[in-house]
Amino acid sequence: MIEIKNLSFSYKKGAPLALDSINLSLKPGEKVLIAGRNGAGKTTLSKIIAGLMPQVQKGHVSGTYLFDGMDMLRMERSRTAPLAAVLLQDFESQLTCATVREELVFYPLNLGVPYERAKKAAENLALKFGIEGLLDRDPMSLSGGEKQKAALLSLLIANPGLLVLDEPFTDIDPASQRFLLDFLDSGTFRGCLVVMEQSLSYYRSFDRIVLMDDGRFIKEGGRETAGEFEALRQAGIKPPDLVSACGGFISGGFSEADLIREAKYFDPQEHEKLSANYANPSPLMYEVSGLQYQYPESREYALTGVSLSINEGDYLVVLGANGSGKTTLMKVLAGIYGHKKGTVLFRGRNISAEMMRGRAGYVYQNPDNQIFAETVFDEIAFALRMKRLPENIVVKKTEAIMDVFGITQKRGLDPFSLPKGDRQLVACASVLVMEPEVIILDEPTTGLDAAALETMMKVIDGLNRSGKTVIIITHYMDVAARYGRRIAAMSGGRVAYCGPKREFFGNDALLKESGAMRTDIMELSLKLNGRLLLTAEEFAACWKDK
Amino acid sequence: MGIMLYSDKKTAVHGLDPRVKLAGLLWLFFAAAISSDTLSLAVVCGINLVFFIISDTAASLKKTGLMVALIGCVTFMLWIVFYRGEEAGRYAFSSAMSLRFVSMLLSGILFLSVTSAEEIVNGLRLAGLPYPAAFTVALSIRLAGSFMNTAFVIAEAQAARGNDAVRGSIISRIKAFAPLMAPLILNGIKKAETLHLALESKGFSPGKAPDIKGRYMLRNTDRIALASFLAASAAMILYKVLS
Repeated sequence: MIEIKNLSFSYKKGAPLALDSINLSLKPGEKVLIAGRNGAGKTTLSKIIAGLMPQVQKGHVSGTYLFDGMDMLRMERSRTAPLAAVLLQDFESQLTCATVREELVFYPLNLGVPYERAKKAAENLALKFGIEGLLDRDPMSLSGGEKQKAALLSLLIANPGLLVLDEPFTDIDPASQRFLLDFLDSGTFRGCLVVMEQSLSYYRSFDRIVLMDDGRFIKEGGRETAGEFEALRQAGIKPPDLVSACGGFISGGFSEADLIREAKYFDPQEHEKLSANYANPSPLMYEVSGLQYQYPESREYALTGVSLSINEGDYLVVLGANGSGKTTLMKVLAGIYGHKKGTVLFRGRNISAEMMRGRAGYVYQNPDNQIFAETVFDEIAFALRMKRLPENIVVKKTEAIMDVFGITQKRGLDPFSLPKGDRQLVACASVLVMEPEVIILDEPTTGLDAAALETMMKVIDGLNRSGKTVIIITHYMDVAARYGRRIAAMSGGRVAYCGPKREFFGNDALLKESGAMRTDIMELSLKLNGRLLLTAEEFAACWKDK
Repeated sequence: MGIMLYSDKKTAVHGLDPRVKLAGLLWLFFAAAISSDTLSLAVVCGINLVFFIISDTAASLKKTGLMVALIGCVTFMLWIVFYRGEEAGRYAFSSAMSLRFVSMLLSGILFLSVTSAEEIVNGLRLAGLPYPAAFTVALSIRLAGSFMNTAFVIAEAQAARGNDAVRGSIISRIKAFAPLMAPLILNGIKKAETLHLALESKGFSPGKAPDIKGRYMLRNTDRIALASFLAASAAMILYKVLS
């Protein structure tokens, strides 16, 4: 169906190759996961195989790309549009209509589908994915995950022969991710699926895995590629926890549980140590009760009665389904949004924007909303200069925070020229240089590859250990399992649970209510002996070699 | 905070055919243009306000009221300064000009409050405008809103690091705007760069307009509204000729 041979691409003549000698063939209905670190060439490849480059976005291409025998590299986009659809990494840019309903019918209408038929299909699809309540909403008013879901459905509705998804789950909650993957696997969608990712979290949903680095395919194969540790290391991809736990990919009718039972034994004493509940004896920092919040132009409440306590020095991870009110709550706690109903006390006093200025540091999801200076140093020093601190203190503090974040070498560089992971670190450092007492990070790991994620989380961990109160919003379950001490799970605008991680991940009802899911390693540990283990490290500590 | 004016309501005004809404907008513009004294322009403003009430879009007025009032005041003062006619008519003329401008602004706000971007595209197409031109008009309106939303997010993000463009003295607020501009401009450029890619990713092609045949039919309410606009226009012309 799809045959790509020796495909190379550069954005300008003579420029380094963004793609180098790519070969790929896909049979009808095949599902391929292409994984690689930031800058590996995944986005460029996604645009080419979707028929957007070099037709719409120009560049120099060589090699051949045939789709059912048709030359995709030379066909006009109007002819490739019914064949291939792509979800761009910047999915927000793909939402151009005034309502979600219009967004869903836009693609089919452009392909010549009559309006009534397109409208009916849109309503059916929305119902299937549980977003029928969003049909009349302005896409810009949706939460990040709802936007990503709407953008994805606006492509699925056209039922293309090839669907390319460039990092499609960055903002979608885990339960919805699973639902989408199951839908794509259910036979309802009959086309080929190509997904670009920075991790192998969902490798079991794909027929084939391709590892990519520096514009080239470095390894290609079936699911067993998830166990090719050397190739994974070269591609900057972390092996799936399940594969690590088993020491390699399991095949030949064996299950992971069979293998572990045969080769390892369980150490209950180690598990006992892990099960000790975390207790924070520090005084209360935040006391929230009965908090309600309504956006000025909305008829509904985004927060419907939140009650929550956070102690000094806490490390809280906030989870919840898309649109459950996570960001809204955090902005109230940071003093960015004022509230009218309920009580929010910070160290016993009613919270206000003035009170929280300098005390709460809020790091936004998109670093590009903050960055403006010409150098990394000036970017980070900006907040201190705004406070009119003497220049020698500004230099001292800025250098200290750059050292913590490991970006001292980049002090003279233009922050916009840095990769996304580094831009995120700069944005984070530029807020934390003010030494806030509480640090709130909204999805700090979105779009980061394994190395950048590790760096970012190490810094955040270090800040908490030095006494800072840290709150992270995330929908990455492995991040929630690995980092932080307590979990606050939100559902329908209220906090459904706030307590130890182990208790949360062991409670099916809570997981379902908050759109969260257990990771593969958690499921494996429960399957083995009913004792929940949260991470690969915990698993390795408790299940020892015989 | 959102800046889009359209609100999806089930009122008679919202339910009008997009061509009739366009005709209504033109009629309100015409009424403001043909009226020259303060009283008749005040009546045109009043008609606009009545439409805001019956279309349940007073929220748009709340959102834009301050801006409209400021524009009205500035227009009034400018005409007082630059008026070149007889001294006795200075204030009456200035207030009439200000009301005319305000009335046109209100008509535009009303139109955007009751007409979705899709209706604007299809209304303009049905009125004879080529699809690329009609789509560009609607997309510009949509992008202006999206651009403003981005500006609010950037302002919030900058305020989080101590650069507050909302509070403080006028001078400090003006100073605080400088760091907002770089990310805003870069976001704007990025948006413009990715827009054509985003549109074409969904099969948009300027030369291939979606079929809207049979989707819009003029109903009796539309015909009555059109007849009313025509009758009111004729009456205004007659009044102008006779007075």
